[in-house]
Amino acid sequence: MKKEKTYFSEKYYNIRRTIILAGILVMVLLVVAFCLSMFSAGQMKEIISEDFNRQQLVLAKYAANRMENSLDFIKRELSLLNLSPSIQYLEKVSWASRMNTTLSAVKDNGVLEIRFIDHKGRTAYIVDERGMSHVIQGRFADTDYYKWASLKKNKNRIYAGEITRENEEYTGQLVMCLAIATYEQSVDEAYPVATGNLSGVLFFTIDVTRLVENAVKSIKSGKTGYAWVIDNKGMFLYHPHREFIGEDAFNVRAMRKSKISFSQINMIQKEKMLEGKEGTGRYTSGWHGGIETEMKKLIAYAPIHPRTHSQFFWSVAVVAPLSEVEDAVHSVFIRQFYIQGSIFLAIILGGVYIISFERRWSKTLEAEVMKKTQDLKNSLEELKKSEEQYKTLVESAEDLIFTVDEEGNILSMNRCTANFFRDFPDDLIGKTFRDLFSEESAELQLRIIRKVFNTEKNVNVKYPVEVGNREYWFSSNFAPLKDEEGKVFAVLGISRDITKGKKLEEEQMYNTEKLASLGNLSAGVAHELNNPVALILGFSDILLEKVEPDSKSHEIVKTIERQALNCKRIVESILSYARHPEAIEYSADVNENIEKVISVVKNILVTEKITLEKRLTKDLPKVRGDSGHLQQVFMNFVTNAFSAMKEGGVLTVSTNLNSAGNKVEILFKDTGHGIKREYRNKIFEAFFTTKKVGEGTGLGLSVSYGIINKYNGDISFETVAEEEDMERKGTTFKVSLPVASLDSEHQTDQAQRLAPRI
Amino acid sequence: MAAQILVVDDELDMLALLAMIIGEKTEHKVTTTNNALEVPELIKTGDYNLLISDLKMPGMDGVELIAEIRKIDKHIPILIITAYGSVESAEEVIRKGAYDCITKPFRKEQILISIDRALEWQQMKKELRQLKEKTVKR
Repeated sequence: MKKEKTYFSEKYYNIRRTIILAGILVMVLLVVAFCLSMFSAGQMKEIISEDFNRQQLVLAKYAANRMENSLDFIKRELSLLNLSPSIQYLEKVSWASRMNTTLSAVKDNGVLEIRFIDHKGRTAYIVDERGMSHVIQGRFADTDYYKWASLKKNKNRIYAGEITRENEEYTGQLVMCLAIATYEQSVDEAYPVATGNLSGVLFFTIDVTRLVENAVKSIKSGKTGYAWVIDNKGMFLYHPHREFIGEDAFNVRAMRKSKISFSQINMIQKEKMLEGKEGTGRYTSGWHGGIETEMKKLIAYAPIHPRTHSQFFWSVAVVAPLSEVEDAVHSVFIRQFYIQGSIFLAIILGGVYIISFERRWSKTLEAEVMKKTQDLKNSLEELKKSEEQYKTLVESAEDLIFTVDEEGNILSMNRCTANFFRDFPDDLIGKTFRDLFSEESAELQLRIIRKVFNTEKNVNVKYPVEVGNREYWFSSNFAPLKDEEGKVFAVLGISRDITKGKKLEEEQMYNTEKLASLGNLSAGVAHELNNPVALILGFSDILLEKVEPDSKSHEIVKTIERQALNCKRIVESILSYARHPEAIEYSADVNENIEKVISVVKNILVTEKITLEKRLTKDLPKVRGDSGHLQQVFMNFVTNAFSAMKEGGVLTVSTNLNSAGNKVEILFKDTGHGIKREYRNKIFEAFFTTKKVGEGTGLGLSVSYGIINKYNGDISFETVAEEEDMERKGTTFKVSLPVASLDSEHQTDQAQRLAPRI
Repeated sequence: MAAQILVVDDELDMLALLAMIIGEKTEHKVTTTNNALEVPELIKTGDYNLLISDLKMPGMDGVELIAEIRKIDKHIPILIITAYGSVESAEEVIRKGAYDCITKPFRKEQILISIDRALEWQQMKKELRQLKEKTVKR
């Protein structure tokens, strides 16, 4: 039992350990899956950032291109204007309008004014941004661009001045000038021959910020990304934060947010942008748009190389916060995270539920197993107890109880069997029936056993057996014993030694036969007696006539006659007792016959002080029997009752149909002295009487019994003798007669029709 | 009218009793024998009006005797007296040809009435026969 429990708990713990391991494995896998998704999200962020930056680079290059175009356009316009004779010869009527024409074309590109300095460097002819022309005198020969233009080698080349905020006319604005030396080389109507002499210097003053702004202001990277531009010295030419414009890009950021290290952007500016390279990168910034916080930014940059003027270049950068990309990725990732999380949670919850369910189930199972184990234990104990009881029962049984196989080999037996065969010295187990019984008896029993094996049914049989030259009678029951598959493997025999009973039975039979022959004999004797009785009566009769009527002799003969009549009555009784059943049976109405008997004894009732109570059930079916016979029987019971109630009493006669409806019961109940205990067994015997000699023959009840028996009826009685209980004394005789069948009723009708002829 | 009556019974006392009853109470002449075997011969030779016989006798019983007698005389009435008084036995003997059956023990009046009636019946049968014969002759 303990071992089993250990086995169960071990098994249970094994299952539990497996579940826990599986749970851990699932958790680890889920964490790995989560990490992988995080990693892939990071990777995705990286890829998308790169992709975004590449697009920013495209934007930067586009902006650079636009600015290059813009610059090229301005330079082209400058060169174009420089070829105009109105400028070359400074024609008084047309130079201002010619300049205005060009200015209006390049005004949008940030050109603030167009100025022409004559070759002496004293006079400047100006058209300003408002389109006003005016001429001013000054010492322009000292300016850098004048000196540069005076040089012959710089013919047809464009000079780009420093970008400065220190311009006299445009203070505070970032301005730059583009200059070209003007020679008298074009011809027109007024000047048909070109002199080829230096005429002066033509230059544009350009608002750089406006120039750049025009090209990059519209650039928008992502949602909030923007572009800025620095020149080759690292100065902001354009920035959405206006205060940065004109400031040194390496310092201005730190000035705004000193706590943040701008080394990354500074390095990019220095090593990439100022080197004229294009590319992408990321850096830390402290703001973006209106947001003021430390953040990562993506940057793409491209150089601006005006084709016609290669000595300087600027660099345009397009920047956007990394968060913009990350947010987009993040939202996807968050969604994915939620989905994954939900699945994860569902798996975890499912697992937890399954495990808890399994645990609960295990517990239920365990409880069930415990209960079953306990039940088993109890039932085992009960089984043991019952086995013990059965063993005691079998061992103490008065019958031979044994089991045998098909060959008649004894497999087991009880003490009684051992005692029965105690003359056999050896152990009986393993012996066969042939060893124990005579050949014939063994064969007989083996036949029965084989029958039980074949039919699988009980066999109940009585038979004689011979054991060691002695004959016994056995009443045996052979029952099949089946194994789990329902196959008979042995036969259980229970044999009772009924030898004594059998002998008794034989004796009884002998007695019965003896009685029957005695009956026949008595009938014969009775008939024979009729002869002498007839003679005695006959002669007495004759003699009575011959003697004096009042004489002593007459009296003697009278006595002889009386006793002969007694003899006659006895003989008649014996004959009716011994008479064989008659072939014809009649049916009779019980109540009618009782009424007839009562009408006969009516007078006696009065003289004997006996009260009669009739309780006759109406409409009873007819019974088997002859009315005369029944009257004889009823009369017998009535007269017996009278005899028992010498001092008066109550006689109750009742009739009824029994519960089964197949017999009519007639009860004669008296309140007489009852039947003494010692007489109760003898009352139906012939010639038994308690009456005085001459009052009764002792044949009444036996004759009645014979009659009722003949009709398959029965007589029984209950009695309380006056010695036993004075209050309840009395005897009740019950006669029950079978209800007549239709056939017998039919016979009765026939008999009644035939009756008059006999 | 005195008639000739033959009484047969194996019991001599019974013969004496019957002879005494008939002799004392009637004018009939009684012949008795206790040997049933000689009855047919007696019937042949004598002129008996009535036969009274016991049923159970050694040598020949009443039923056999009736058959034998009927071979000799078809008309003689036979009274059977039997100790085996039962309806069945009475029926049987009457069917076999007996006129009446009286069971023992009997009262002497029973015997006397039965004898009278038997003889009367015998007389009537005889007269009837004679009348029939006369009618045939005519």
